[in-house]
Amino acid sequence: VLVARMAAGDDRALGELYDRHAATAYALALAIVGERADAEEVVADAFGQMWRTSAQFDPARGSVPAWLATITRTRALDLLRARGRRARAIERAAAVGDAGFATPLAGGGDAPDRGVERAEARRLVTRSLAELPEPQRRVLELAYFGGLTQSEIAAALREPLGTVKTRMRAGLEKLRASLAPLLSEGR
Amino acid sequence: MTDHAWLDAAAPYALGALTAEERAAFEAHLADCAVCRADVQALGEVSGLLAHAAEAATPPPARGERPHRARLPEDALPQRPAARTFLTHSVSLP
Repeated sequence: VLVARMAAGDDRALGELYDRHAATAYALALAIVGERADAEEVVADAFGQMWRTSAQFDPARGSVPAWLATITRTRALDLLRARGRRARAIERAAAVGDAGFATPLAGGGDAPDRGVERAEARRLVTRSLAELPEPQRRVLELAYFGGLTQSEIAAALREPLGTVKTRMRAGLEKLRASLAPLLSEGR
Repeated sequence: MTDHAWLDAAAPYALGALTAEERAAFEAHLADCAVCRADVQALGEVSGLLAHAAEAATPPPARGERPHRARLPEDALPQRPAARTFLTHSVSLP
């Protein structure tokens, strides 16, 4: 509904969408680009792109948060490439040990928050990810937060490409089961 | 469906882990294959949720560093040239 309003030129709809999802988008951007100013730029670009392309959004093909996550991630990875920082990101990604990308930082308290709903989602996703077998979690994180391609991951881990693909699917399938409560909500 | 070779590509695709060429080839296939489309959509919803894990790992932006809501609509207006120009002068809306 918000997206339809955006497509119709209602910029308050954009504001609402921003209130609802910006913190998540910002966190995602920051996890990828590693610097706050860059993360902010990514988020601003991502919402700008949503605004411009809202008419093409097709709810049948996915939810709004998934759409925003895709745009944000793409923008963040573009920015890394544009700044020539991708090599470093790959190095960093490959060097990440068991801790992974999604380990809560000490003292990282809650941002002034819009309701329990998102905190709940955050907790469930973090826990589900932590419960995956380490090799599966690793490939998901390298791809999603590290921005590595499947071949780069295979090289970084010195594993056959087929193994990487299998782990990706197995990991996502497990997450799909444990995150079912979030997935059925729609929106 | 057991030997549907393309199903291999759905998970990497959903995670954005294909190269541009791989992605293009798979998307060409997606246009004709409802099975893979459904698969990609389902996996894409899951990978979309991974963004929440980043949030748990992120210290909240310090006050004033938080992306500012008020500036967005202006930034996003289609007539505006580019976000870049705008970003040089941070909060500017009334």
